[in-house]
Amino acid sequence: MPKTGIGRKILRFKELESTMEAARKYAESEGEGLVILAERQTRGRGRFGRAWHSPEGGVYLSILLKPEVHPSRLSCLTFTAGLATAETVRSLYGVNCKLKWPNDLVYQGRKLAGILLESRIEGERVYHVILGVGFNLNVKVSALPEEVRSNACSIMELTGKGHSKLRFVRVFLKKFDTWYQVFLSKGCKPILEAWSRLSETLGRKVRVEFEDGRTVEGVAESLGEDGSLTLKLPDGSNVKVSPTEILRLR
Amino acid sequence: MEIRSPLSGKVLSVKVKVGEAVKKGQVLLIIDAMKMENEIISPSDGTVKSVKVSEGSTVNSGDLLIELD
Repeated sequence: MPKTGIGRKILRFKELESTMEAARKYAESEGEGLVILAERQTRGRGRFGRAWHSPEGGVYLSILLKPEVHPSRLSCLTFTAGLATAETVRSLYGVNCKLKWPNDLVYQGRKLAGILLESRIEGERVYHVILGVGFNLNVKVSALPEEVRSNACSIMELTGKGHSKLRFVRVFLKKFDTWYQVFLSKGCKPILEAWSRLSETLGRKVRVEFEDGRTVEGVAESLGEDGSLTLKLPDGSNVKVSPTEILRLR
Repeated sequence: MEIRSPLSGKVLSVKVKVGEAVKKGQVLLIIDAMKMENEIISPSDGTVKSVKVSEGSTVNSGDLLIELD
């Protein structure tokens, strides 16, 4: 593992309630690049405190980041993390996975990974960001709860064999570190360009359901600098959507 | 003291009420932006004078969120 940067220090646990909570405990005392890794989580969580089912066989990790950027730039990390995950899967296992806007890693529409980002901000200063990744590496989909089974897949089931977790972690951390340095030095544009090349959303017809009940159908055309999605509607007009206002994208 | 939003997004939860005493570093509210949950913390000790947003509010960078005395 690297001596500097992302993964310079890795704490491994057999079992944790949640790698996110563990990383939060170290957020003040540790520097950027700390990684918390767990064989399984008993209370793994996704966004809004929803459960992330974390049976043995999956990879569950959180990374402590301390980027010296304005908080308004943090949203790019959503794309940075997705991009690193997708590149890792494609290079290690030859699985033609894609990125669904804004942050799902999917294979033929079924989810391979969950990405969670949380930050702590005072004024215009970012104290820390914690990136969490739950990855279905050697997971038996049948071991997942029924309600998520039809929407999930795993590398073991796609390739017909188990794979080294450590190898996944090593390659993922390296790729994430590379793209993270690009984000810090060059901004989000190169990240969004690379993300777009692996996107399953761009170029296809999508239906967006908004939280207020409205729906819009159009072709997903491009990503804005802030990561928003621009749709071209049948009447030729464009509409820009942000993940915070939508309920679902199909 | 005015607490303004450092980013655009949606208020997921407001953690304080008017009249409540807060400590430096305490979480005041959480804003969701591009699927990232951002805790906005208090820069100092104080008392909440007013809360300008509620759960579900959409905010833009620079919008006033909370006033502290």
